Amino acid sequence: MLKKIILFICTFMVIYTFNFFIPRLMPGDPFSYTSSVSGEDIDGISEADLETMKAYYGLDRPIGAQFINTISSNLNGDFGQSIHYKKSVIEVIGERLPWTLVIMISTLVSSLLLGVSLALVGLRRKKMDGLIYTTATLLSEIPAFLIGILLLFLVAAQVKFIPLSGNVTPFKSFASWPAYWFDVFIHALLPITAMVIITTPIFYFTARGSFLNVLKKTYVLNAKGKGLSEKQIRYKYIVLNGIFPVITRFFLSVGACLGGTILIENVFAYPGLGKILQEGVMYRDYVLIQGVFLISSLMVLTASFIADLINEGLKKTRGINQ
Amino acid sequence: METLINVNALSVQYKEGFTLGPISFAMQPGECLSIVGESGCGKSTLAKAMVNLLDHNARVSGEVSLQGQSLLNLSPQKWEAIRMKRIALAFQNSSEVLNPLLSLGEQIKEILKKVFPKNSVKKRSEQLMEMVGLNPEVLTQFPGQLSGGMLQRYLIACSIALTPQLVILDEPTSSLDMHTKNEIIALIKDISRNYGVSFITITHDLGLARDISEKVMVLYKGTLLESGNTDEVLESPRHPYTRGLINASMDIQPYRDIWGIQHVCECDQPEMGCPFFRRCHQKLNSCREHKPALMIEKNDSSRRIACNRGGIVTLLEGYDLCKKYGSKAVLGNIDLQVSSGEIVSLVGQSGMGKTTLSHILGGFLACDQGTILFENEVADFKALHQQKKGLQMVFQDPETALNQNMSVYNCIAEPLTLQKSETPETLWLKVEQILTDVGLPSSLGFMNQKVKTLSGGQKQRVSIARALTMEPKLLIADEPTSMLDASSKANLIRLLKGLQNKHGFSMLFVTHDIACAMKISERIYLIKGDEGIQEVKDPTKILDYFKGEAKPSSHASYFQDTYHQPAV
Repeated sequence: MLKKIILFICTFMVIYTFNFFIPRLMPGDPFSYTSSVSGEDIDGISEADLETMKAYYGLDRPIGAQFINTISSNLNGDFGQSIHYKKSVIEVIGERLPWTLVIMISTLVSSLLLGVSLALVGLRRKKMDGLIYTTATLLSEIPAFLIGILLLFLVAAQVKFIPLSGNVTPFKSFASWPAYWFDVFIHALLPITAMVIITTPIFYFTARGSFLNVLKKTYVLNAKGKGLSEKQIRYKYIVLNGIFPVITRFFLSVGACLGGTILIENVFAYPGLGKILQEGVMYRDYVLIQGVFLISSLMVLTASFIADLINEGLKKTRGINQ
Repeated sequence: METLINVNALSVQYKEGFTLGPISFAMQPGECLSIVGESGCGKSTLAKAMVNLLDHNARVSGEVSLQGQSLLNLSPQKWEAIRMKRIALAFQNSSEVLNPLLSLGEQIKEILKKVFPKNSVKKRSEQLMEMVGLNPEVLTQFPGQLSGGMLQRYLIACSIALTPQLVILDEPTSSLDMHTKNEIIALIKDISRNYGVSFITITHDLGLARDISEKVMVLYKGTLLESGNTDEVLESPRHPYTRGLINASMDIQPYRDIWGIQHVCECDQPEMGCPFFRRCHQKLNSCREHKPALMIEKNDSSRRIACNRGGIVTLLEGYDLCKKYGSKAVLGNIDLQVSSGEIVSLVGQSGMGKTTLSHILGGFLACDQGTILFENEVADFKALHQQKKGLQMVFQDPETALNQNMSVYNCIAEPLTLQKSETPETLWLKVEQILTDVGLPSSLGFMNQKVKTLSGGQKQRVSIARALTMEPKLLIADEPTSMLDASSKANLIRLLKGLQNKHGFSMLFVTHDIACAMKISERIYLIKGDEGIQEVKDPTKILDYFKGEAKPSSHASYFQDTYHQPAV
């Protein structure tokens, strides 16, 4: 256990270091963009102004000193000021993170349920299994943003009540909470659908493989020999024993899902982390990029840590060796 | 009494090629049957076929009926009502036989609640655990937390939970220690006796079969080779395969050396013929094409055997043999048989006529009275000595049995040279092979050495090699090790036994060494000169016969004058 925690901390420190240096390796600097439109350089800023601004953000110091300074202020809970938004990074991320989480969590949960259900259907009907397997193989090869664009053209453009972009209808006041939540739901519907389409196959394949594996075990035959009903065998034997790889996959998919969400948010102009990351990169907003990376890597690492914990705990309490 | 289960021409065909059966048998209530055989012979397949648990790529045909109700084509719903309640199968213990995520209590509850009211389930499962010698606390544990032996007991408890009429146990004691094993056997026998429950035990452990069942079936490659009452089958097996299994089983043969049945390449195993063809040492050419049917034995209606030759054939028979030297009867009323592929020892004190009898049986000495049959015909010793597949002898003293001035090569090749059946090249190869077989160097230098330069042990090996060139069906070895030191003796005996196991010839082993006879032979005859001969069933009992005692009267009168009496 202690080993796992140490490993977790080390991994985090390596990622943290990368987070600091990689944005600074990009060509250009934040100030060439601050007063320009879509990245075109203008000559409006004098050398003296530039120096003042660099000094203000602490970017004039040597990179090592900047790194140490960043660590110490981060440890104090200060994640700096976004150069582009002119607000504290915590504030910017705090505004956007919930929207990304809405998409991610909905995607993961519905894909998990859908994938496992499809695997169960396939278990009972051989023909359906073939059909689902082929479809899932095809879908899993298409990138999320492409599905997003297709959904935009084929659904959002055709169906009136499904909006093209955004998270809530702007400037609208809602009579009640349900009405607000419905608006949120209808806006998130297409991004989530696009994400579910590419995430479900992952869970389906994992669940199917795991269930088929369990099906080969003697205890399933033994259960049949005990005269248990098919339903009992399916849930208490096959699903119970086969679900753990799926749950592990659930937490390990957080990373892939986050990556997909960041892309899909840009397709649907959904104001989540993806949107600010895109802008952060565009304007070389080092501080903001660092913040977004930090929160994402924390999410991914924590998820894998949880997956590990579940597996370990299970093995320990049930005396399973491998 | 009504037949409990009737299996009629049950056969299973796998797409991959394995075929089981057709197998027929019937069981009465309270009867215990064992199905024995090596791994992969189809024991577990038979069990699963009986309870309809085979996977879809197995095609089952035939008929299984439980108290008159046909089982094979029942719907899954009807099967659910039969399983555990009337017929139960306890799987072979492995780490995967129980659901690793459900506690043992939970898993036995699944069975019990099918029949018993919910509030009694807990009590009943605790009773069951106590019955098989487990602490009821294990019910809260998970399969991964128990030892193999505990799981095995738990599985047996599960199988009898709903008081079925027939329980099939697949290797029920494979992971148990001796003590627990005996406890389980006693429990099963008790249940069977008191409640009339029938048990089918699937095992490769003949000792378990002996202890647990009245009847036994021997399965080989999906074919039933022999069946009968367990005691009788184990006491006098009629099929070479059964005999091979017994010879390989330590539980049945506590002091005998263990030898497995020769493994051979399965390459030209005939598809149509006898399944045991490749490993059988008494096969005929017709066995290649003709698969034997299971037939009732001539003299024993409870015994069935599937062998084209009607079981193990008798090779050498002697009836009423007598021999006199002058007026003194040396041997009288000698009756004995040697079956194909067995080692029979002839033991007795010196001067009781062991060597005389071996020379008579070997055709080197005529007897005054009696008949000797070889393969059911009056023995024509001249032909048997000169032809292959006949009878050869290894004498006590290689110094006199071998021409000391011959080279090793000539000495071994001589019988074949006389036969004129080999070309010089094949002869050379044969001698080379046989030298390797008897553990002598096959180099040119050694072959050209004179026999007289060899050591005693080497000479005896040459002697054996010479006999084996004729591929005899029967080898008579007259005290072949009496001239050797302990280590050479052990080596030579193991060599002989090994060669016998490999080539399958029968051996009549004449010795005064009862311990040696007990180690290597399947049957032992004790010879008592003119009083006749006696087959020894339990050799440990005749150890007393060989125990010498000093008779004080014999030496007292001679020594008392010369030696001082010891001071008292």
